[in-house]
Formats: sequence, C-alpha cells, structure tokens
Amino acid sequence: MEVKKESIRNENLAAALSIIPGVGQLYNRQVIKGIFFLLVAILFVYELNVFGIQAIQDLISLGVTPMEDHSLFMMIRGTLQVLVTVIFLFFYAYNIYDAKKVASHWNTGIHVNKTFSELFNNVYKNGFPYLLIVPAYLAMIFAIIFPVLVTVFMAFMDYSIMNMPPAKLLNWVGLQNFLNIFTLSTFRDAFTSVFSWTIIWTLCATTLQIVLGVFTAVIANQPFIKGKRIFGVVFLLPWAVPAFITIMSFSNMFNDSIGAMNTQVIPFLNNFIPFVDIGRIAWKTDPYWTKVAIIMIQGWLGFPYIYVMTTSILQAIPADLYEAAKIDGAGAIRRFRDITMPTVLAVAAPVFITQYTGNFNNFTMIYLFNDGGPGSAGGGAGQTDILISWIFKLTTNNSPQYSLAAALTIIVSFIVIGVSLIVFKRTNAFNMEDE
Amino acid sequence: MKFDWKKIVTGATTAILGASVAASVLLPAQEALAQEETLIISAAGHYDYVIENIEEFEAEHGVTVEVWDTDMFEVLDGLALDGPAGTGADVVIAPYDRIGSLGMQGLIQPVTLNEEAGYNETDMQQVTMDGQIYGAPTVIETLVMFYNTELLDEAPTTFEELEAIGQDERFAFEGEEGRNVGFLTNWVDFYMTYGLLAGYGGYVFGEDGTNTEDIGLNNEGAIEAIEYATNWYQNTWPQGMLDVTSAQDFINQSFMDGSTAAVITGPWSANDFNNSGVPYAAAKIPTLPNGEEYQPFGGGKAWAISAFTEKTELAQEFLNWATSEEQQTVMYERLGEIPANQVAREAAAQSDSELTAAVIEVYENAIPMPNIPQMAEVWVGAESLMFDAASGTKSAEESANDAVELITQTIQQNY
Amino acid sequence: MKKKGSAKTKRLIGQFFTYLFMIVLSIIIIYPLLVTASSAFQSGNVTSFSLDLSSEWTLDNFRRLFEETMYGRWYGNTLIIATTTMVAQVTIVTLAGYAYSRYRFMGRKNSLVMFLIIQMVPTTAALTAFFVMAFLLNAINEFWFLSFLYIGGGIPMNTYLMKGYFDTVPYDLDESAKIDGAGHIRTFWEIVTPLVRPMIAVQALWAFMGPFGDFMLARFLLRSQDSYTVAVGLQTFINDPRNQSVSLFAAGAILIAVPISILFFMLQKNFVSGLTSGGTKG
Repeated sequence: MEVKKESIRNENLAAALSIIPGVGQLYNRQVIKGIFFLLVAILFVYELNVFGIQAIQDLISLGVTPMEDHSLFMMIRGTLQVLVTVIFLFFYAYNIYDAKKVASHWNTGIHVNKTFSELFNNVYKNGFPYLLIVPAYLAMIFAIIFPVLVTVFMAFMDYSIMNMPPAKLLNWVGLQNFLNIFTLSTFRDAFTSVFSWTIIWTLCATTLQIVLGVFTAVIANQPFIKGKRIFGVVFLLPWAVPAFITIMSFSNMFNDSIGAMNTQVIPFLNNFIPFVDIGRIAWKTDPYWTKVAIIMIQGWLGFPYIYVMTTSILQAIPADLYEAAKIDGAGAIRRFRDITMPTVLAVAAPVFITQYTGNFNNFTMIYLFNDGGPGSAGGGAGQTDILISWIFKLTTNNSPQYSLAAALTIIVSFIVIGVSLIVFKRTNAFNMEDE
Repeated sequence: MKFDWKKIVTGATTAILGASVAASVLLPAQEALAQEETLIISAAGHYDYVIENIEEFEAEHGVTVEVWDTDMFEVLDGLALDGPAGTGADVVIAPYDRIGSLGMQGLIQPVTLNEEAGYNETDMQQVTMDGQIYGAPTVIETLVMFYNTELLDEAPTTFEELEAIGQDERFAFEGEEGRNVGFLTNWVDFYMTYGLLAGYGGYVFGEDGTNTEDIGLNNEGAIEAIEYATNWYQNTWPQGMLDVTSAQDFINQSFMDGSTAAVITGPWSANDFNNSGVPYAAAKIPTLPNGEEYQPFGGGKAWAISAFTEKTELAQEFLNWATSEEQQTVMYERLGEIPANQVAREAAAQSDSELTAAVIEVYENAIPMPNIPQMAEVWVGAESLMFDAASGTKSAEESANDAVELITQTIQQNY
Repeated sequence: MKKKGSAKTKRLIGQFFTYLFMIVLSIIIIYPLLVTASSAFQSGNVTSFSLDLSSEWTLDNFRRLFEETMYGRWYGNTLIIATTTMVAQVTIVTLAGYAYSRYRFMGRKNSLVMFLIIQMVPTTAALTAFFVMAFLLNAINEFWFLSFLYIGGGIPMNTYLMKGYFDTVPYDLDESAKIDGAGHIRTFWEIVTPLVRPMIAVQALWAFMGPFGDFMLARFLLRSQDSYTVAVGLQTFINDPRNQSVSLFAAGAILIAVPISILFFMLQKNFVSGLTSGGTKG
C-alpha cells in the first residue's frame, strides 16, 4: 500500500478559512456541510444582532434608568445569552477542527464524503452517539446549568428588599455578600447555629435511615420467616406514598395539644407498657423535640430505599459463605460483621453518600413539618432551619435578601460538592472507566 | 467555483441588522395587552362582591373587567415580576401594611382619593408613604372579642373576668391536666400580641412609627405585658397554644366546638363561626388589668394601582367607584367587612350588627401599623418575642431585649 | 441433649424477637398512614388527624373535593405534566444511557459526572430565574415548561443508572447483531432495548411520580389556581388559616397515594434489578 504524500489540501489554510464557519468545508469540497455550517453561523450573528449583543451589554451594565430598565430581567437575558454563546463557541471550535481534519483526510487519501447521501451516512455511522445525547445535553444546559449560573451571578449583586428592581437598579458588588455573611453579626450568628444543626441533622437522620434499612433487611431476610411478601409490601409503603403527603400528616399528628402523637400514641404506650409513663411532649414548641421528631420521621421515610437495596445485595451473597462461617464457629454477629457488612458497603457506599447529600439539602422535610420553627435563630432563620430552608426563607419572607441567599447557596454547594468529590474518588463511584 | 464569501456575509449581516429590532423583548407583550380594553383586578377575598357588581362599572365605562381570585399575598409577592412581564393585574387589593413598601419599591403608583369618602387622619396615615398616597382605603379591620352566648350571659368587659373564665372548671381542657381553654387568643403571633403590648405602653417605632432608632418593644410596659401573657401560657393554656403554625386553628376549632367561651381574633373568623352554627356575639375587647384599653394594630385593605398598568385612568375610575358610599355599602352588606368610607362606615355602625359596632369601637383605640419597609424586619425579629418568654426558654426581659437587639441590628445592617 | 435443647430455645427466642421487631415496625409504618386515611372518611370539620373508629364514616369529603374545590382540575393538570415528563424523560434518558454504554465519544468520561456535580448546587435561590425564564418564553402557567425543568433535572442521575443497566447487557449481542447486518438503530431497538425493559419501567415510574410530589417549582411557575398541580392545591387546604380543611386534604391525599402506590408495587420487582445493577458496581 502506498500512501499519497502529495499535498492536495493545505490543512492550515482550511482551518484558517473556517474562521468564517463553513468556508473551510467548502474548500474541502464538502458543499452541504459547508452551507449548513455557514447557515448556523449566520443564524448566530442574526441572533446577536437582534438580542445577544444587547443582552450581554445589559448583563455588564445592569441598566441605567430605574423603572425603565429591569436589572433582574437583564441579568437573566444576559445569562441565557452567555449559554447560547458558549454553545456556539463549541460549534465554532468543532468547525475549525473538522476543516483541518478533512483536509488531512484528503492528503492521506482517506475518502471524503461530498454528496448529501454520503454525508448523511457518515453522520449516521460516526455521529450516532452524538445524536443520542444531544437532547439530554440541551435539556441539562437549560434546566441545570442556567439556574446555577444565575445563582452565581446573583451572589455578586446587591439584590435585596432595599434594592428591588424595577424601582432600583442592581449593581455588581464583588464579594460583599460573602463578607456580610461572616461580618454582620446577625448573619454570622445565624450561620453558625444553622450550619451546625444542618450537620447534626444530616448525620443523624441519614445514619438512622441507613442503619434501620440495613438492619431491617438483615432481619427480614432470615430463611424461616413466613409472610415475607406482606412484610415486603408494608416496608415499602413509606417510599410508595408521596413524601409531601406523609410529612404534612406527621406535621399535624405531632401537634402538642391535639395531635395524635400526644393524644393517642403516648397514652397507648403508657397503658400498654408497664412502668412507662411518658408525659406530653412539646413536639412542635420545643426546638429540641422538633429536631428529634424530624430525625425520626426522616428515618421512617428514608429506610425503605436502603432496605430494598440491601435486600437485593444480601440475596446475591452465596449461602455457602455463611455455611462455611458457621462451621468455623462464627456467631451471627461475627457473620454479620465479616461477611454481610463489607459486601453491602462495597456495593452500596455511593448510594449511602447520595443519601447524605440528599438530606443535607432536604428542604421538603424541614419546610413542611414546622417551617423551620419553633423560635428563631436570628437572621431570619428558625431554630430547626437547615441551610437550604434558610435560603428559601431569605428569598421568600417579608424582607427578601436574594443576594445573600445566593451567596449562601454557593457556600453550601462548595461543601456538598467537596465532600462528595472526595468520597466518590475514594469509593470509585461514578467511575466511567470500563473494568 | 469562486464565491466572494466576504461580500455575501457582510451583505447578509447588514440586511439583518436593518431588519432587526434592537429594542427590548418586553415591547411586544405590552403592546398586545394595551390593545384590549380589559381591566384586570386582583380582588382576593372581595372576589364575590366585585364579580357580582362589576357589570355596572363595565357598562358605565364601556370596558370589560377581568376579576382574579388569586391569593392576595401571592399576587403582591409576584408583582415585581408579573408587573414588568405584563402578566400582572392593573388593580390589586393590598393590606395597609404592604402599601408603603410596595409604593417605595415602585410597584404601585400614587392615587387620588375619592373626595366624598371623608377619610380621616388615621385612614390617610395607613396608606401614605413619604407624603404620597398609594392606596384607596376600602376596608378597616382590627381585632375584636367573640364570645359564646350560650356559655356566657354577657360579654366580659375586663381581663379579670377573662381570668375568672380561665379558672372555670367548665372549660378544662380534656387532653392536658390542669389546663383550661375558657379564653384563648393567639399571642405568639406578633400581630395579635401588639394590642396587649401597646396597652401596657409598648410600641414598635417612635414618632408615629417612623423613627427606627427608637424601638419600644422592650420598655418596661412591654416587658410587663409579656410577663402577663407568659402567665397565661405557663399556667392556663394547653401546650399547643405555643405552636405558631397551628395555634390559630386550634383556637377557632375550640370556639366552634363550644369548648371555649371567649376569643380575641380578627373579624375574618366570623365567616367560619357562622358556618359552624356556634351561638356567638362580638364585643369590644375587654379592658386590660392595668385599666388601659387594648390597642391592636389598625389594619385594613386598600385598592392600589399597579405601576405597570397601561390603564391608569381607568384604574383610578375603578378606585373612585369602589370607594364610593354606594358601593361601600353594597360591599358591607355582601361581605360584612367594615367600609373605610366614613359615610358608609357611619351607616354601618348604626346597623344592628354587633360585630360591626365592635370593630368600629375597637378601631377608635387602634394604632396604625407602621408602613415603612423596616416593619418587615419587625415581623421577622418579633416572631419569637413572645414564644421565647412563654415557652420558658428566656425571661420576659431577655426575650424582649434579644428581639429588639435583633431588629435593631438587622435594620442597621440592611437599610 | 441439654445443649440441643438450649440451642432450640435460643433459636425460638431469636425467631420471637425477629417477628416482634417486624410487627412493631409494621405498626409504626401503618399507623400514620391509617390515621391520615381514616380522617378522609370523617364527617364534620376535623382539625387534626386521629384514629377515631367510633365516628361516623362518610364519603362526603370526596364529594366536596370534586364539587367545591378544583381538585379534579388539579388532578388532570398533574396527570398531563406527569405523563409528558415520563414519556420525554424516559426517551431522552434511554437514548443517552445507551450512548454512554455503547459508544466512545468526546466528553464521555467526564460530562455526566460534571452535570451530576453541578446538580448538587441547590437552585432554591434561582427560583426567580425560572420565573423570568418562563416569562421570556411566555410559559407562565404552562405545563410544558414545568415538565421541561423536571426532565432536565432528572437526566444526570437517571442516565447514569440507565448506563449501568445497559452495561449489564453482554456486548456479544451487539456484535452478533452487527454481523447479521443490523445498523445502529436496529441494534438499539431490537436487540438491546428489550433487555432493559425493567429499568425503563422503573425510570418511567420515577419520572411519573415526580410531579405528584413537587410543589416548590410548581408553586412558583403556576400562578393561577386553575393551573395548580395536586401538590400545590392540597397545600392550600392545610396552609390557608382562614379555610383549613384537614379532612379534604386527607381525601385528596388518598386519591393520590393509592394509585401511585399501586403502580409502585406493580413495578416493584423491577426495582431490585434496576437499582443494584445500575448504580452500584463496586
């Protein structure tokens, strides 16, 4: 086989020509592709003229005339434009890369498709995975990246009750909001107390649901049990019923004076179990008991998922492992410690971690049970507010502090992402390598 | 094949430039709205009355009116976004205490008041901000006492009588030993507490609610008032009364069940009481133990005009129509809410409704709620003012000082 | 002999405690649900859920739910949103999961993890952003926009699980299909996809359940009462202090929880395989 070495197409020239998208492709005699690329570029230039340039300028200036310019809208339009521009830049880079590659194909004698059907076949053959993921990417860019970007921008503005568009203009204020969280006494104290409770809540609630889930799975998997199916259905109920319904019901049941917990459950326990006499408990008027209640409820809500997972892992452990351990004289506890636990952990560790991060941001539970109450921790936060529900209050209460809330969000995110990354690296979760 | 690409591209771009409108995206939306002569009114709570009577107004001005029944606070909270977006209402109903800050934020515009309504100083003060009037008062509201006519022969007139009711075995609370629900009111809610605090000499801001440097929620009187309320919580009422989120429901339910003889609450509860069939009457709030009158916040609702409306004149016409004596009387008869219009209010006071008489009588002692934006911080800061003391976590003095400190700091740091 | 006896007693005691634990746990699970459910059948105005079997049972609350409130409308809205979300999300996720499992392409290794990580940023503070975005697209009160947000938010994790499940389908199948001359689409549609049906069922259920449980986004984007979803609507029964109605809430809750639970248990056997082989390769 002889490879032609004569230069038919100049690769660098092709790339340079593609500075205007599509021209390099035309130079490579790929007319359809060239025209298509050019159309995309023209479309983008048109979009810039109609909307984009103005949007980016507005994002930088955030408006000049109050009541006429609405800074918030400008910021959001600008954010959308940033995303569109980034998508275009990706396309632009690809177009230059493609021009260069095709030119080199000419030179090395690889067949270059020129007609429409050839192009189509080529896209189908080599571009198939891209066709599959484009819808997912587009949806993720606008539903995930966009709000995150807006939050980041907001954290560097002065958007609050005292500075509300359209009457006022927003300004870029750099790190002021982050400084405020740590220097303004009202926020600093609130941050400390809310943050420490968030950590306690995350650790206690998640650990409870994991322990309860694993324990139930181990107990319920013993071979002699009758009625496994019934129990299986019952144990899944808390997962099957939408959480907001059960939380609202619990919120009502835990009412100090008329809730079922104090009027039915506790008297029943007192009558049923000898020597126990529990008084009425201030479930919703004493922060300590509110915390106890939400941790218990989260255990109730969250254990079925862990139970299902653990059950299926347990069923995959070969029975002769246990038999062998039995013959060696290992007791039940020993068997659990040396066989069951390591296996479960090896498989389910990443899921456990997502449970922890999930509870760290478990807004629904806190908000619906007692709206972060009772009592106040300062800075607009209640005694049982976690960071995420505090952020929500800061954006929705009578004196919203949007920018502070955004800055808090960024701080919270750093913590969650940092911890998750470390753990994922450690446990090899979400690893895209193929074994 | 040689194309002059450069030429084509520049040509295309210039053509596009010429054709494109570099104006804001908002323009088309607003223009489309302006073409239809439709006035959109958000009339939460007054929906039934407006929808039944609006035809007259429509005929008179040759327009159509679209009436919304969306929750009042949702509409007001959304105004900053709905307004510029052109999806908001032209006229909104708003509580007095929101009028000031809405005006300051430029979300509603100054209005002219109906001359014939005869509003007095108190009425005007409620809807004024920095010398501008932002709303047309339509309803006055304040707290009153409701009592069960089967359980009590006549209305208690002093708090000593209420204390006696609170000792009466008839009203012992089943669920909790030694607790009593004879008299109930929701003092963990700052709005409800204020009448008691003010009666003892407490106040929010000095100089008619304008001086934020001077907060009177921890003066001697206020602390005495908190101690008095704490006594009720710790020695008389069930534990659940401390629960901010559900105490009001508990109170209303208990009253409707006939377990409770007297409650202090807003006239808006009357509707539920009527439906439940409980035999009740309304009366002036009893005199406090120190011999002073209970001085709750005077409140109410006003019609306001969105700053984003294209139909300011028509909206103003609606305000004049809605606050006229005739319409205010119709509203009173339909909803039972007390008209702000003085002429209609006089007429209502003469009617045989005890509730109306009670509201108007208490309103005499009512104090206009401060309407400066800083008031928002008071709601947040005072949220746990009563709770901390009544639940025994802090002394009354500590609780009051902490709340005031929190409010002061927040105001300093944010305004 | 003695030893054997004691071993037997030990086993019996073990069994006794096992059953005790499971029965107590079952009671703890069933009691609150029962309390809520029974409140739906109580007459009169109830302010708190309690298990009161002595009172009269009535279906009146269900009648009121449909006659006096917009519950029926809300339910329809939610079904529309849930179905749209389900169909679109399952389609997108299946396609993307297949691509991640079977092909090599630019950005394959890190893109999904990147989205997963970015998704950990809570977007509570950006609720206003969604609102303005909806306004720019003229999508206030529009169901498609809400669906779009649910779909976008659900993609990263579900694509990851889907990919894991596709990975369990042996590669030889694709190879033999290719030898038979099947193209990309045929391989995907006829050979591989039928084998991941259980996972698709699980995905469909989750996507369908989402809109029934979310009220944060729905509250912000659905501004008019007749476009509410059930979650937002039911909250108004509990949250509006001037018009509280616990028994209506309970009745509405039953009508949501029962169908969803039935779906859930119908697909339950798919969970186990879906969950463990997907996201949890050690």
